[in-house]
Amino acid sequence: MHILSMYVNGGIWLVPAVTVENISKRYHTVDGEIPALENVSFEVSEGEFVGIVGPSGCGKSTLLSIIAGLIKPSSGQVSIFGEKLTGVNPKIGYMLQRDSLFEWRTIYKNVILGLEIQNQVTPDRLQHVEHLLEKYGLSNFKNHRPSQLSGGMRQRAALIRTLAVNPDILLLDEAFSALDYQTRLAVNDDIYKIIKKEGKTAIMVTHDISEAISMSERLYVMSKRPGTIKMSIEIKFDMENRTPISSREAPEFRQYFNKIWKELDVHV
Amino acid sequence: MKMMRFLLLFSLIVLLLLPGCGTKEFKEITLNEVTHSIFYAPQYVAINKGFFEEEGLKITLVNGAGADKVMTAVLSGQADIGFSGPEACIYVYNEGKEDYAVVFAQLTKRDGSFLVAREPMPDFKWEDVRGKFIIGGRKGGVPLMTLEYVLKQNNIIPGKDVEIDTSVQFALMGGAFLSGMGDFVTLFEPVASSFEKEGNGYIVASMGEASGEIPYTAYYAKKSYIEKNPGIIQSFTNAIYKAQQWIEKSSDREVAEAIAESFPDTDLDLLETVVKRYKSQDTWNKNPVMKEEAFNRLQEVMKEAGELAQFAPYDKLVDNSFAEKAIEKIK
Amino acid sequence: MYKNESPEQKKYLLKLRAKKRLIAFLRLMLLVLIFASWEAVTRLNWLDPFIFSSPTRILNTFIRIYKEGSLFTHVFTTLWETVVGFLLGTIFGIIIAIILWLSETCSKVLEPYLVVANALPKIALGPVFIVWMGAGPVAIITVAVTVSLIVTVLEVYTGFLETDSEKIRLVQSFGANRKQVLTKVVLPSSFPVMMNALKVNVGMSWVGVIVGEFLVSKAGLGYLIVYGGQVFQLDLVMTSVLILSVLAALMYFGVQLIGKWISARY
Repeated sequence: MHILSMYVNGGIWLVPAVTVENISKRYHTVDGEIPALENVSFEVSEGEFVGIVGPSGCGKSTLLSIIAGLIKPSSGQVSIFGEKLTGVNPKIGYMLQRDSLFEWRTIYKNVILGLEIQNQVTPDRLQHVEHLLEKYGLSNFKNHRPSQLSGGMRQRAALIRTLAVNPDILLLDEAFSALDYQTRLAVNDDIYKIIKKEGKTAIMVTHDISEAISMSERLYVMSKRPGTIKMSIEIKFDMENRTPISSREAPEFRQYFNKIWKELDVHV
Repeated sequence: MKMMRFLLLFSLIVLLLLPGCGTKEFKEITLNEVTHSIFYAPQYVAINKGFFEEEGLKITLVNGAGADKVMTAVLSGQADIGFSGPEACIYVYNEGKEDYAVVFAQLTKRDGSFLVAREPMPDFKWEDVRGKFIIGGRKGGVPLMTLEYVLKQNNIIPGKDVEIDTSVQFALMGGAFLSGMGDFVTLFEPVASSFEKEGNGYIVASMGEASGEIPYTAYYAKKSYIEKNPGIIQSFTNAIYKAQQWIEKSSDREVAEAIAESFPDTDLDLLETVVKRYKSQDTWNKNPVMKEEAFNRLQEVMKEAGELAQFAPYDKLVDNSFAEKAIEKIK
Repeated sequence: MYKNESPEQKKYLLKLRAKKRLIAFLRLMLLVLIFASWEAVTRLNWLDPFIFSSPTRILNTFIRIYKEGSLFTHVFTTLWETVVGFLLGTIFGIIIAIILWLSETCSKVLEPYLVVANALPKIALGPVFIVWMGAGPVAIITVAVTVSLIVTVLEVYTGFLETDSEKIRLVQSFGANRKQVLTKVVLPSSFPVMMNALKVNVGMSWVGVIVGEFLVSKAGLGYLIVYGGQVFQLDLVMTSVLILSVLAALMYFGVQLIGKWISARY
């Protein structure tokens, strides 16, 4: 639980991990203005796993980049635990579509990349990294090169790299699209468990509706460009300790799927 | 009928022969000169005054930029006649080439370069270069060898009493001097005079005067070429001799005007100054004969410089028969 | 070697080795053939040995200048001029490429100038350098440097631009500043491009130095070529050319080895 909390109306109000307020983004080119996002607002509570789906080109990746602090919005603002976002924030970890592991570094050197950049290469942090490697089965591959690992292992390494700097919030930008279907299912499961275990907040953008439903506790559906939030659904399954694989077998799954599919403006 | 046939045949024969008369056939010759300089004025006189044409020769003039390149052009057949220092012929003969080059006409009998200093030195003596630095030209070339020869004649030892740079290529010597290198430099004309005109240097001595008679530039061709084309060689030599005689009789101004076409970027006054200087130094041969004494002095100079291991035979490398015939024929 | 290799694997490895040996043998044979036919053709006078020289004449010349003691001087002069020119050209080239990458304005402004400078035959500026810097090794090295500099800058800079943008985004997401992007992503990922530029520069530096020596020198392999030409000792010319080729090849392989060593270490 985050320390920042207030007494509001007689109860404790927890500051949301991520607050997105009226974010709009317009791209300026020589040919004219291109609106990408239009007044997007939502909140993500600490420890929540939120999914965002939408048709291609609706701006979901742009949205995530804005939350990550890599792009400045045209208007609106993002707050992280109540603090206005001004740029890249070490509390946020960003996992991209491709693992982008550096072929010229060993796995170990790759996972400590973030620590290097943020000048956090302390014995403390390094121990944490060793711990993560051990936990997620990559200890024996510390001195291997990325090319020697399978796709799923590389993704795990990428996740450890992101977790090494101890972010509170994880942004997953189509982080599994590059994997084949079977690996993808296994990795979904893996990473969901890791995130939940570490107690991280997560926002995942994906175009795979099943994936979004299987992993999210709340799902936002975006409209086509210029993107805005069309619908917000809470995803609940009648089971204890849901996992991405087990949730796909739940009866509610089909219902959620159909609901969302209808809502998406998919043009063929 | 018979009459008609006869007339037809007759007119046919006449028609065939007609083109042969009246129009002269020109033999085209490629002449490769070592550099383009007023030093070779008689050659340009021969070209511009039509002496070559009179002899039935059409000359294509090519600038070889270096004695070795001229000789290479001749040996490879790219040029018919080469014009450079005869030392090239000596080198080629000594290195064992079978079809070596033979000299048949000489043009200049003295070195054509001048010693240029940074300040005017009206009372220049060779002693004045003691302890100084001269840009002399590259090793193996005659300009440097002549300079060293002259210095030694005046009891100045190159390397010991005076420093000589041998690293700069011929075409860049003026430029190196301009950039501040050296106290003296040896330059040909018109570069030497144009330096003087611009105030970049002052001519203080003439290498030609100081060295005595040395066959500096001459015409040569492969032995086999001369054997196959004696007529061309003779015509060429005749034209050169005509030019040599013409220069003897003409004023400096007239000579300058005759060669102006070959030096479009040099003004007439400068041309006249240079011609005057060369003429007063007795630079040019009065006839194309190369004397044995002069030939051997050249070899002396080369031997002194350490570039010649053994003397080459005069009678093999020089053929004065064409020059002598020219003198007889053209009075 | 791994234990328990199947007989098939063994056969495969043997075949591979045999092929390698065959290629090495053929390479050697080709060299021998070239020299043997050169010697034969000039002995039979189908080609004039005066102009083309021959392997035996070259060998004799080589021994002669070795005995005279001048072989070492000439080789060393040209070699150190080339190495210095090569190092300076490469190092400055990479530094300039880095500056261009760090400042987008700089690179946009300079782009057309670089393209023109690249197209200019720098060798034509040789005489200008000599007048400017005086005749000497400085001018020669300058010619070598200019010949390799612009090419290095363009190649390396282009290599930098081709860096995987995903990797750059990745380090930016950790809050990396421009310098960190350079040192952690751009430089390591451009290593193969830089190695390539180095290999090209070996050749270019040799050309620059030899041309420089043609214009201005009193020692060195280029000097021997000019001098030999002037006094018509064409054996000397050929000998120098051969020594040149061997040295240039050695330098190229040396650079290749260094590249392999670095990439193995890091």
